[in-house]
Amino acid sequence: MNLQEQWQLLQNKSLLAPELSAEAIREAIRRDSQGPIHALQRALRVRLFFVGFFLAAGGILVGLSWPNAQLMMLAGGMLGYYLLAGGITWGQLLVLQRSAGLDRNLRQTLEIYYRVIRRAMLLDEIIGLFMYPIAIGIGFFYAQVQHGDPIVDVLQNPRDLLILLVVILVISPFLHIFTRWANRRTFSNYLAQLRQNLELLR
Amino acid sequence: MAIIRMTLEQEFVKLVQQHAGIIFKVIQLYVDHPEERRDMHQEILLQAWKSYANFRGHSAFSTWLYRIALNTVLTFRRRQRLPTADPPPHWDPPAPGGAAREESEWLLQAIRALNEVERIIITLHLDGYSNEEIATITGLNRNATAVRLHRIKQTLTTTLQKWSNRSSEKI
Repeated sequence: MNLQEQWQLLQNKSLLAPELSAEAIREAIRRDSQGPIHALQRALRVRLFFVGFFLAAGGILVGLSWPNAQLMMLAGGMLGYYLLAGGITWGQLLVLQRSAGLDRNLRQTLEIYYRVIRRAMLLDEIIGLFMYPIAIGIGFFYAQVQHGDPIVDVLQNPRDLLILLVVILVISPFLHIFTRWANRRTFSNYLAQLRQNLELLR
Repeated sequence: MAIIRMTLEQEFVKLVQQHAGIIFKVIQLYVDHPEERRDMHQEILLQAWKSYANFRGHSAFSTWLYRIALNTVLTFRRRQRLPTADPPPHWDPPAPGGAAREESEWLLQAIRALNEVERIIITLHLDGYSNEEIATITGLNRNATAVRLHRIKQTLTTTLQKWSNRSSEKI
């Protein structure tokens, strides 16, 4: 028996689809997607929520810092950083929204998914690299200046400077490495799966 | 707006019901885990619905749905490992009178032992798609599709022959 005949037999036996009710279809199209891009979108929306929260907190802090110029500058720095993080996250969400469609050809789809996930990981790691030192540095200075020490005094105090250096040189890289590790743990198998199929399509 | 959506939805439901076999077939060929099969089925329907507004009818609905189903399955994060090229150990030789059915089951098993791209090429071919259509769906060029298809058919024939010989020895 040739392959075509065997295939026809299969279509009438093991591959014969059970009847699909209209209700089942309607229920399926109303649920949330479980796909990786949508999972990423959900994670970014959560990040955007926190960025919004910190932006509001930064705004309140700027208000409370009035009329201390140094405190306002520090709170403004925090506000600026979170505005940047919010902008990047928003941009990522837009890219994901454009990439989520699955009606392209297979190679294009796999390439887009691979690129988008890689870029999201990279941005997450870069934001992670700068986020912690900036947040910690600004927070540290803010606390010291609020106690009445001008920034110049804080920078000239060896104990304060040492604390700041330890935070920036030890804790920040550790948190960055942790972000990297968590991302690889979450996505490395998936990226390998995409890469493997892209190789097969070359 | 709501009326347009309802009409679109009704149209979509009807078309999907007519071509439900495509989704079922793709899932049978790519997903092992029963729970994952259910999730994947719903995910394909959802992805098809999300893209349906962009469906312009440049290709047949069945071709478009095949493309969405394959793209969804291949971009979904999967839990299970790929099957191996050996026939399952619990498989008995074909029963008298049931040989034809068994042979076709072997074809299913042999297809599932191919890599994911080869599986797409051969199933589309067996479903009557031309090399050009297969190339359009996969993103391969037409020559590469033809060469691969030839190789896949040889692999399948050899594998099925080997399994058939093995089961004849058992009898």
